[in-house]
This record gives sequence, structure tokens and C-alpha cells, in this order.
Amino acid sequence: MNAEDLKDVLSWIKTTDLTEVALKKGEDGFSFSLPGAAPVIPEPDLSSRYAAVVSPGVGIFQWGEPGRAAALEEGAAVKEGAMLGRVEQGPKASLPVKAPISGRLTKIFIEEGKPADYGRLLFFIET
Amino acid sequence: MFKKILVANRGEIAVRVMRACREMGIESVAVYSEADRDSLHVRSADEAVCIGPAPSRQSYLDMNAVLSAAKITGAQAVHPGYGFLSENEDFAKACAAAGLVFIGPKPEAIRTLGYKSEAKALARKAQVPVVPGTTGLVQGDVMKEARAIGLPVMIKAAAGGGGKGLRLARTEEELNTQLLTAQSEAKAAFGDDAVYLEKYLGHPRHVEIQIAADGRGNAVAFPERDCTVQRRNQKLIEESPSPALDETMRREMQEAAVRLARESGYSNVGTVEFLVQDGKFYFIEVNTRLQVEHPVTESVTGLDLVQAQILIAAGEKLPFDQARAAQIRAWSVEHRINAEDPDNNFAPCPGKISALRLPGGPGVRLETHLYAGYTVPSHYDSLLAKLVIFAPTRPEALARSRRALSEFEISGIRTTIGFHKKVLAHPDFIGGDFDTHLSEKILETSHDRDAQKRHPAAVA
Repeated sequence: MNAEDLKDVLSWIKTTDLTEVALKKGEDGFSFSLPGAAPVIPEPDLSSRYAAVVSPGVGIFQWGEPGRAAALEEGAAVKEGAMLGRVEQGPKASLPVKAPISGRLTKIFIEEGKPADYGRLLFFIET
Repeated sequence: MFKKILVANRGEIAVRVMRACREMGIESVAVYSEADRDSLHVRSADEAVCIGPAPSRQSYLDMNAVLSAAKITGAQAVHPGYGFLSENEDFAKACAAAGLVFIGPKPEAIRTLGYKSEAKALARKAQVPVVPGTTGLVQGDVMKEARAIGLPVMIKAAAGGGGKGLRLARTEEELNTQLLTAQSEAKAAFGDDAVYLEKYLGHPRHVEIQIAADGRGNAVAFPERDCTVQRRNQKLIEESPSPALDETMRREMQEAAVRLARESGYSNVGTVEFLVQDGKFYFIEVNTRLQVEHPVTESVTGLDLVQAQILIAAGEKLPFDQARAAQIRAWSVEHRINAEDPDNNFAPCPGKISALRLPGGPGVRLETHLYAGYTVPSHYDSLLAKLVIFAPTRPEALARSRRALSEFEISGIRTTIGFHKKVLAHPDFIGGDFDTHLSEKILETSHDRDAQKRHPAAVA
């Protein structure tokens, strides 16, 4: 994009209500605002909050302890710190998966007995 | 033969092992930390598993994570590369317990040969000459022991490596303070403060013998590698054959190495390290793994050590005999290129590689995980590339080294390429007559020269 193109963009903006424009294409981009226009800070949307729960290590995902606790279902209420499941690394090694916040389990991305890498997305919790 | 091998390492060595796997028709699995998501070894494998965050303790050194990755991918064997878990007896045992083949020696051999004082006792038993020193760990009257050996003495950590827990005592006055320093370093680095004393050799060369044994009674020794160009016990240049050995001494060293391999019931490739001074050789230690500088031996003999290692682990017979293993078909030199600043005490220089020009042409082999745009992470070893040169004779090999180094350009970070050019220009290196102090000598003279350039008036 060169200065000539920018002129076109500028005259176009004047025909709209916009006071600020930013364009990014790969590494390149530009942004400018019309003189006198106050910067607009968007209000963050606080009506809902999602927390991603990822695998704490590489292993096989299991719900709860053997002989205890069945699979959770989408929509279930969970408390902060509650055991959601565990990632088994061997006969004597397993890592707990805990709820980082209290809320509703809105999405489950893993199944019992399936492998997970470190950092794999397991659940979304909505508060 | 294995169908799938997990490579429990990163960087150039992981790429090297994966290449061997592919040539043998074996699938490979990469493991990687979060910091290595964009590393070349992840792309070189058939599958890749993220095993943890950047710190090695929580990823490449986490046995449960590595074994778990092998389990979920269905790998049958684990290649440990060098460093990380490669010389860890517990890991070798844990692999066996998990039903996996550890591509390395039996756990017992890792223990006896890896623990330096035990290895030394074994060497004595196999009639391999050792550096005069204490027969066991130092306890009781250290001064008396030191006097018996003769000062200066070197204090070494029993569980040592990489220059940690290694201290020189030149005089009796220095002995106690250096002993305490060595012990606390050893405790910090290895969790074990056991040390022993050894006679200090003032102008040694570091010469090592590559071995391979299949655990079925076949053990062979290869031509020696001369790793005399070191800085603080870290190798910078390795060459084979050694300019300092004749045929008789070469054969004696090879026979000694094979005796040690047999005595310890060794199976796998491995390296027996010696110091050479005044026409004599002294055993120092065994590395029970693939060595960083193995391509030098591959270039000299035309054999593939990684493939041999995999064959041995799969229970097959050694694919070559002693006569073939000892054949010298070329002269080879390896330059370790590190992300370090030679003008600033070799401080690590991680960062983004903005541009890259790789050397090539006749007699040039490059082992690297670099590509343009790659960011060298700060969490791991600073080795960027191994430039391996081979030619019919030493002078031709050195000329080729100069040519290849002049082609090698890495932009964006500081590297040791320039230092290697200085070594190649030094008359002692060219003449082949030098000891382990050569790199210090070169650094001192080049610093003097730089100082003169900056302050010409000071030189009257």
C-alpha cells in the first residue's frame, strides 16, 4: 500500500461515522485516526467468562478414580478445585485435572481412554 | 526389527536419529517441549507429542512423560540420543518395566561404566592403563593421598561430566579449598558429593575410541577421534584419525577399548575416552551412548553408527567385523557451531535466526536443526550445527574446512563460526602439534590483538 492508496482510504472515511481505522495484513499494516477524534476504548464484555482446561501432561485421560465417579456431562456444575478427571502416565503415575474456577462445564473435548498431549484442550468451563 | 521408535531428544541429534529410522523403514515419534513447538525435529518425525513445558526437568527429563508418550503412540523402542536421559540407569530400567526397548546398554553397564570410579576399577581389571590416582573415593587423609600421587592433582566428581565438580589443586595449600569447591559443585550438579583424585597431566591430548558391541560376544573398535581442541572441557573440534598417533598406538588403544567392552558385558555403541601424553595413553571414562562427534567416525569409515545401534538394540548381530570397523577411508574434522559469543567468554546467545546460508559441496556434511526464521530457545544446549568435513588427507580436509566455514552464514545471533576460522589459521593446529590448552592460547592472542586494534597508542 502506498501514499496514493492511503489518500483514497482517508476520503472514504470522511463519508462514514468512523473516527479510527486500522488494517493489518500479515506483517504489514497501518492505522490512523481523524484529528480531534477521541480514542474509542471498547467496553469489555463481562456477561460471560470461559476458562479453558488443558491437559497437565501427556497420557491417557480417565474420568475420576477407578471405581468412583462416572463421566461428567456437558452442562454439569463444577466447583473450583474439583477433580474433573486425570491423565494416566503409567501404573503409578497419574496427574489430576482440576477445575480452575467454579461454573458450568459447557464443552467436553476428550473421551475416556483417549490420549492427550501436554496442553491439549480438555474442557471449557463457563462462569 | 522395530516398527516405531520414539526419539527422546531434541535438536540436531533427534533429526539425525530420525533420518536413520527413515532409511531403515522405521517410523519415528518426536517428543517436544512447548519451547520446541517450531523445532525441526518435530517436523522430521512421523508423529510428534508435546510432553511438557520448556524446562527440561518437566519435559525431556520427565521419565513418566516420555514413557507415556511412547505408550500412547505405540512405539516399541526409545532412542535417547545424547544428554538428557541417555546415561540414566533408572530410565533404562523404567523402559524395560514399561515393555519398551531402551536403545543403549543394559542398566548395569550404565551404572558401572557411568560412575567414573567404578569404571576405573573395571579398566584396571581389563588391564587398560589408567591415570594414576586414588583407587576409590576420597575419604580420610586427602593430603597423604595427594602426596602419594604427586601434585598437581585433579579433583573429580564420581558422578561427573561436562566439567562440573572438576577442580585442579596445584599445591598442597590449594588442596583443601579446591576439594570443598569440587564437592559442593558435585552436590549441586549431580546430588552426590563423592569425589576422587587423579594425577594432573600438564599437556595432554584427548583421544577417544569409538566401540560397538552386540552383547553376543562381538565387540569392535573404530579409528580414534582426537578431541583435543576443547574449551573448559567442552569439545569444539574433533578429528579422525589423530595427527598424534601411529599405527602401533592406535592398535593398542583399540585393543584396550575392546577389552573393556568385553569385561563390562557391553552392548550398544559407546566411547572409551583417553588422555594421551608423551607417547602413553591413560583411560579416563566411558560414555555409554551415542557421542555428539559420531559423524567423524562415520565419515572416516563409511559406516552408520546410529543404524548399527538400532540393529544391536533389536537383538541383531553387529553388521561389521573388526577389520572393517578399523578401516580408515578418509580424514575427517568436525566443527561444533554454538550459539555463543566468543568475544564475551562464550556466553550463550539464543535468539531468532534472521537469515541462513548453509555450506555444501564435496566432502561437507551438516548436522543441524536450524532453518531461517527459527528462534533458538534459551532453555537448552547451545549447539546449533555440526559441520563435518571429510577429504583424502588432513591438509585437504583443513582446506575444505576453511572453504565450508567461509560459506556458512548465520544472521541474527552470535555464533562460534569465527572462532573456528581462527583455530584453522593457527600454526599449531595446522602442524598437528598441540594440546588441550590450544583454544585458551588462541583466545588470549586474539584478545591481545583486538586490544591493540582498539588502543594502538598503548603498543609502543
